[in-house]
Amino acid sequence: MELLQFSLLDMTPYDQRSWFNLVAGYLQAIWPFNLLALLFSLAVPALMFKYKALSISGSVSVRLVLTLLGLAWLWCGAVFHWQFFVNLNWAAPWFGWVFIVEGGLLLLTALLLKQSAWIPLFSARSIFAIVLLIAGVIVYPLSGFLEGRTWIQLEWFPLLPASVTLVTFAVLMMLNTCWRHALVIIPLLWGIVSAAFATTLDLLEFYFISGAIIFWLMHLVMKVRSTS
Amino acid sequence: MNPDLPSSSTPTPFSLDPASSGSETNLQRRDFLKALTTPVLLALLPAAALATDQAIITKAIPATGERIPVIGMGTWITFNVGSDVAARNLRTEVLKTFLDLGGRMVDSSPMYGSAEEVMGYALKQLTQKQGAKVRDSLFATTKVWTPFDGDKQINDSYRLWGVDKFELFQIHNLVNWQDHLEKLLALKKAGKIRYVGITTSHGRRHAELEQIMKTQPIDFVQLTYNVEDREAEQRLLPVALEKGIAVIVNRPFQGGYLFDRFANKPLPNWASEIDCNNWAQFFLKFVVSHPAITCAIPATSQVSHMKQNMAAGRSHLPDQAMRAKMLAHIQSL
Repeated sequence: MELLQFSLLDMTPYDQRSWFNLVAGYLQAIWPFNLLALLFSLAVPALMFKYKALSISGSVSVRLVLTLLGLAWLWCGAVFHWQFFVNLNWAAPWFGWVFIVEGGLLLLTALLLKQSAWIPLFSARSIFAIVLLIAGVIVYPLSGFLEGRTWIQLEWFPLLPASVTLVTFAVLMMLNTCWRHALVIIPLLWGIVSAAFATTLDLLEFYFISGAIIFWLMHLVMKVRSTS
Repeated sequence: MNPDLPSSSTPTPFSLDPASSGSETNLQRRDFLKALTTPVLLALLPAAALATDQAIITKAIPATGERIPVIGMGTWITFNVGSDVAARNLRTEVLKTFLDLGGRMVDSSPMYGSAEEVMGYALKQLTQKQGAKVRDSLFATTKVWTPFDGDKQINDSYRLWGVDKFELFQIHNLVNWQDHLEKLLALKKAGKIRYVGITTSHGRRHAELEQIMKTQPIDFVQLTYNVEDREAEQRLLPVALEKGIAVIVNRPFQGGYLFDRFANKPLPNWASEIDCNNWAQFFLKFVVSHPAITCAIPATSQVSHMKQNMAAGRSHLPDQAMRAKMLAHIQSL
């Protein structure tokens, strides 16, 4: 309980420059996994929106995307948090466990979810999801340039937690199963924590993650209204 | 009565390093240096240029009478740079500047991410270049910070710093302080630690800290004190004087907030009377001139800022009247 006296600032014993340098060092250290990450970034939208062209069913497409997403969470937990972020933040091992749990849940869902599909395109909810997906895969990483980052300091999906969180919101919003409400608990909690961290470091991540949380809540409100 | 207490009857209450003299040459150099008020110009100067013109102000640790410079160095955020070699080398330069300018106390904690490891890296680099004098001049200070058994964390600190002895080991923010105090006192008895302390920051748990100061055999406390946050003046600092406990001040710039608030305002003309050329020196001189305070530990990642900070620990400190004037000025802005 004594640790509860510590504030968010205590949990952020590093500055923006050290964070950027950590990201750069991490991305350089994991080469050539960056190429695999690029494949993930292409595969997730393709499986979500072009699965028919790939001659697979919606259900299989859902399970494949959840598998990729689960692997992304596991990677962020076991590699980024445990091996790299731990150098800057004493709380990183705990964060790593949270990511491992979410990754496990996503993989378990992919294994058990026999009947599922994506919601139809061109609904308000799917537009929210597409916006979040584009944000997570392209816009958020590139927004790093506005913060003065170099190419090697950008936070690409699925290698860093913020972009993985944004894509997770997008994927879960597109799912037509109620499992998504269980799967979104950790991303929501992590989103709140990481947005708070982002404010202490003056990062644009705050706006992206806050926006994703707002989108999620808005789609719930819209769903409640449409069913009542 | 604390021998460092400034009063009208003791116009020069602070110890001046006898190695420094006030020759005419040095006075001329001081005048020249006073004109160099920008960080850019200060950064261009070698550390030795600033080290020799004015005496280092020291204060006594009440438990032993050992004197240490009033300006130390913190490592919160600034030394947490992970494995980035370029950043580590820059921090090594910051530490080198600190030691070259007569600094001694360096404070860290396992809570500061890689700061202890980076400190070990910097010490190793400097020792390779300058030899054992680096360790001899260092007043190595760290903390134990865990709600569990502290043995591993304490041992890790020795390993990460690369030292076999700490001058001061503190209990960070009172976490699990009963267990840790017992361990640290045993280490002190075994000669692995010279002093034992306990810390707080941001004004947390002052009432509990006061009780510990009154009842436990500690040599140091560390707390937050600056021109904006003076809560410690009410009870903790008087208790420290009464019980003979040395006081380290963290957050002397209120985590940088003081610069955000005052840096765009001009220093008062009379700041030159206490040899303040910039706000950093103004804030630091205010802090370390309190009679109960032994030293302050500002943190920086820049050599130019280190030079500014260290200059606050030279020449002379404000007396009570000047402290009141400084405070009134800040409150008027």
